[in-house]
Amino acid sequence: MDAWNVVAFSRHPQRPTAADFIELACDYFFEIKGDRSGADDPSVIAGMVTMCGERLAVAGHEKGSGATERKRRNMGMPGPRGFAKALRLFKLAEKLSLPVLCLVDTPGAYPGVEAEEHGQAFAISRNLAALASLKTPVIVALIGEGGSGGALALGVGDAVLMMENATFSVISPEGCSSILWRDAGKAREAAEMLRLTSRDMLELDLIDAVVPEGPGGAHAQPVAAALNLRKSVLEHLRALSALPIPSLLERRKERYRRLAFFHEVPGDEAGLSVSAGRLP
Amino acid sequence: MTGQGEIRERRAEGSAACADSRIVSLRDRARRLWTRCPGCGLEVERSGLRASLGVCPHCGFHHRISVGERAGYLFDPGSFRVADEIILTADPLCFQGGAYRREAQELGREAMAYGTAAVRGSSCVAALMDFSVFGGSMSAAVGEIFRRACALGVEHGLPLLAAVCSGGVRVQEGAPALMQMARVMFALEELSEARLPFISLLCDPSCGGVAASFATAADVILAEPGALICFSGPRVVEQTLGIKPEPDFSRAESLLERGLVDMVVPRPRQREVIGGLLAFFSERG
Ligand SMILES: [Zn+2]
Repeated sequence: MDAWNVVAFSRHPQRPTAADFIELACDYFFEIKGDRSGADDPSVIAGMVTMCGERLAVAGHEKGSGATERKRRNMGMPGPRGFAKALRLFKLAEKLSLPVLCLVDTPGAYPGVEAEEHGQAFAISRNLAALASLKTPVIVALIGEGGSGGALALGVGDAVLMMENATFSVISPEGCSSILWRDAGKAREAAEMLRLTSRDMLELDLIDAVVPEGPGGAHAQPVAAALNLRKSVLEHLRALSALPIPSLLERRKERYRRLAFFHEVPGDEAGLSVSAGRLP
Repeated sequence: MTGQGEIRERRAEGSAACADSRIVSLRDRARRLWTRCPGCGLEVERSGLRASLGVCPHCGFHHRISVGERAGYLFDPGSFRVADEIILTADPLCFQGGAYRREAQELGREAMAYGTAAVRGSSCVAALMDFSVFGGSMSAAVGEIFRRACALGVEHGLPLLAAVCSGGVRVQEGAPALMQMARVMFALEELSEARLPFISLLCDPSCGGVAASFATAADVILAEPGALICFSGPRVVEQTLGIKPEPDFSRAESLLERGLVDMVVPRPRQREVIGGLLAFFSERG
């Protein structure tokens, strides 16, 4: 299966969404609504759940199932109010010492005039800052599309899991293709170049584990995929919950500090040397 | 170029090659000396523009300027001590079979420079973005440079000033560059823990993943007149919605109206405003 096939799988209309995962893998779910400041953005789903006896706070992009729901949910593309809803959940989780599970599945933040007028960039930045210092374990599961900053606003944590056929990228293959070649038709080639599959992400050391979906992908095996994801979440949760909060935050900071990917040329030397890729 | 130039060009078509090249060289010369202002459409002399800090004398349009020009008008003479390490991309995706890496290495610099500087006698750590390097985009190297700027601030107990000019995250570095959006937030967290202030000056453009990370995470946000500040630019919005956004869409002035930035500051006033803030911050107990 090439990268473009994986992209198609990650966008499959029958692919289980965050709400499906909550339904299939969790026992109790209380959904919180709104940003407490005038509106509810249905492209983000958030609430408190129990999963095999563990209590968690969950926030995810929700694409919706079926044409009507997809439209209402805006294909899981949040505006600032959606990010604010997720932020509300993060803060609630911190207060109640609940671990956070983020379910990432979005083509990206919504590119609309109103979203920009209400501070789309500011909302994403706030969530990144909040996740960087949240005093509770944060597990990120990339379950479908992981589109750029809109995905990352729910995608910073202590462990990042990725479904086998999920993707994560700075830009859509179509967008990359039209930038590079002024032609959106070379998306298949661009998808390969962007290294956006779970295998690529593991090789780049950007994720901690790949969750198998079973033959035919998560849309063919929604229950198996959900249970596999639950298993992986619980494993990581157990390890992270054992850490005292200061160590957890130090470990999270170190996890991102090591994502270096640069060369340093010392001022007084000519040759390339020192730190390629991750810092020691 | 002007209409006259076009006519001369058409006349030249049938004539001898030497005349042709003479006209081309004249046009090149004109282009070196003059530039058309996107604000008012008038031809502006480049030397005059440099003297006016890149601000159009006719309409006040803020032209894009280099890192050197920015440091030149913003900081006290000779006070900007640029960190001398050269940090370049490790090309994590091996993009276009190494073509990107070669281009980046030939440039030999990244889209951000940092060091210590003083504004009207008050010291700070300054991080200045360079639009001429891949549109000021955030690469893994830019993420590292910003991290070091924060660390330098913590080391010396200095506030951070960032002049932002960026189209967003660098596409050629994919997810590893995207992750820098988070990486820089951890660096800022250390600045916060040390109770050090962070001022950002948003210039045209301040967009995408840079706008959605450190640029808008500042304690005080200043913006240059007319600067485009957004996550999704007008072209992306138009492509998605099929409607062309208004010309003032996501410009500094409309962000000020909506309470998203603190002040729109023209270049000639930036030293006074930033110097004043830094002086105020340095009085803390
Ligand atoms: Zn002008």
